[in-house]
Amino acid sequence: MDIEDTKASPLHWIVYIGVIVSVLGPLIPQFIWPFAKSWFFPDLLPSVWSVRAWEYIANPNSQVLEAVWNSLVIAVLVTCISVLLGVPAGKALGMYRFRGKGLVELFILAPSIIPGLAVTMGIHVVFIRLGLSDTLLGVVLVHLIPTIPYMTISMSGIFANYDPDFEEQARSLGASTFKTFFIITLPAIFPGIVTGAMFAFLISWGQYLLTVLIGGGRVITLPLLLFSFAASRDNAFMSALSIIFLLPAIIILFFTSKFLSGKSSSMGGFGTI
Amino acid sequence: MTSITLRKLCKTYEGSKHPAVENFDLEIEPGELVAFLGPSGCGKTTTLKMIAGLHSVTRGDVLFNGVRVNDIKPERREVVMVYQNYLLFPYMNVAENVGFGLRMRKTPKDETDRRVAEILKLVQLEGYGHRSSAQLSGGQKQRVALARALVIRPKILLLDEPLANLDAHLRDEMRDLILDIHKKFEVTTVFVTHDQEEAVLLADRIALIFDGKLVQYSHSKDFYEKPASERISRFFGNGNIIEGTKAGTTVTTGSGAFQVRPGLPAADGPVQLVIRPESIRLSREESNSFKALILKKIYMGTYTRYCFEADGHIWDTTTESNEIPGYEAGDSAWFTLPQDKIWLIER
Ligand SMILES: Nc1ncnc2c1ncn2[C@@H]1O[C@H](COP(=O)(O)OP(=O)(O)O)[C@@H](O)[C@H]1O
Ligand SMILES: [Mg+2]
Repeated sequence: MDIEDTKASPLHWIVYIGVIVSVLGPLIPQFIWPFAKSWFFPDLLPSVWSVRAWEYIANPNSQVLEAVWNSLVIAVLVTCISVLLGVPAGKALGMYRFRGKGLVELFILAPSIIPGLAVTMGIHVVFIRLGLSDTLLGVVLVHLIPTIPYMTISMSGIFANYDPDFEEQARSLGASTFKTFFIITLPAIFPGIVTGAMFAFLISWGQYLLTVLIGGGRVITLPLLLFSFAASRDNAFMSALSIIFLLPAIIILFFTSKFLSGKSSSMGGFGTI
Repeated sequence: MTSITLRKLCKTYEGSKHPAVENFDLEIEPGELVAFLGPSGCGKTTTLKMIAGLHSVTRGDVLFNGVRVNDIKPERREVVMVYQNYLLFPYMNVAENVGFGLRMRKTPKDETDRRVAEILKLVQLEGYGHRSSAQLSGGQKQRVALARALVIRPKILLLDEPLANLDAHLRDEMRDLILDIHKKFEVTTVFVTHDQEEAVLLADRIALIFDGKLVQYSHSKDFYEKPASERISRFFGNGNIIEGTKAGTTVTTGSGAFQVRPGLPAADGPVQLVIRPESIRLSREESNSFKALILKKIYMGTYTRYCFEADGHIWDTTTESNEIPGYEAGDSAWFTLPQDKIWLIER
């Protein structure tokens, strides 16, 4: 509570600025390159400016827009499914004791311990049989392997702190099950859902290996394009692509720090009250 | 006002072999203040939650005013439970917390505001409406929780260990507040405690629960004077229990034969003789007197306690300090078990 009232001292400011410069500093050229035509070593800024890279991105032949769209659709679907499955699974793990819980926990953790490549080979064979390989749906399904455990584990943390008596208290004061969910349960677990969902989105958005293996090069996503153009040595184009690739991470970083700072994070699961 | 009847009430939690609550038969009069008393884990909270409808009933019935309510949802029962740890909703301020029940009932805003202010005044929290619950002390949180329950004028008020988390000096205050509220609102109230003194101070009647079973339900005086078992006697702080054999109005024990009053419910045969420490007199009388060695004298302010031994049995007595005859440890003295104060438990 007191943290908000504390004024940052000059020393704090020096540290803050140091961190910001060292993190964002290396990114500055990244934001200049997409607008440069020629930019050589000793010059601080490019000698010739151009938006050629952006024109190329907007051109359907480059497949960039298609890839962005695919990445977006896949990541959104993966996020939604992860939330829908991860929240109840996390609740079960966080709140209830049941027979074989240890085993279930192990299974949920397994995908994050076992190398994805090993699992995906086996899955690929099955997906070919099912006609899911080389399809968007197949890619969505395989992205769930790392995201569902992530979502489940982060929700089980929230639910372990969550006191179901709050729901009972609301019921006993006259709230229906429906109202109880929206007024009591949801606000308590919402910070957890948002964080989990954002990271699920990022995991899917940045996924290369699983997409290549299951999508078979036919489902083009942004990381795939990035890799295939990495060798092209076209700095302007690569930097433009990187910016698009970084954008969700930056938005999410900004959003999480706002959303999860201060009071709201302490309210996750009503843990500290 | 509402009466509560529990009929052969049972609860076995899923995945648990032993019932948490077993065959409760209990009748609570309209407007009565009853305590559920028992050691931790004996099933007190479980029973409250079944009355509130928050936990399902495994077998048996809950009736309000003679009407079975097993299938009525908690939000329709007009029974409010106040939890041990207050459970103030963290993102609502005091006024919003207190007004929660009224909002759920779609009470108009101006009426809600008025009633919330009124009830906050009653619990001595006038002007606290805008505080967040994190800014309150334990006692204040407890009073907010109480106000939140009372503002909707429930038919039944259930208090789970209302005094357990409070400091000693706050406990007396809260106890008085609960008594005041109970009188003012005339609401049938059940409160849970594991502290027998608290139960005696507050309740009209006490339901004593051991291991999920209701072992005695009566006025608090009876637990002292007429305990139904040795364990109950000890739970109420009385270890003056000696084995003997009853024949008519005479009980023969290792410390001699004692006369008991006629009409005690225990049948002839093996019994346990029970007497409260404060009922034993330090004097020699015509009957029921015996000589014993004083082992310990403990001065406790208003009272003085003697432990004495006769024929291998250790007795406990408390006397008002200004009436003690001046015996010290090591002295021999006469003790009397007054005939009308002796209680018998069948073995
Ligand atoms: N939700 C639950 N699930 C399983 N067992 C429970 C649950 N709540 C309580 N119990 C068990 O039921 C018994 C009675 O618990 P409770 O009613 O909370 O006791 P008390 O309030 O008297 O301390 C205990 O053995 C406890 O472990
Ligand atoms: Mg309890």
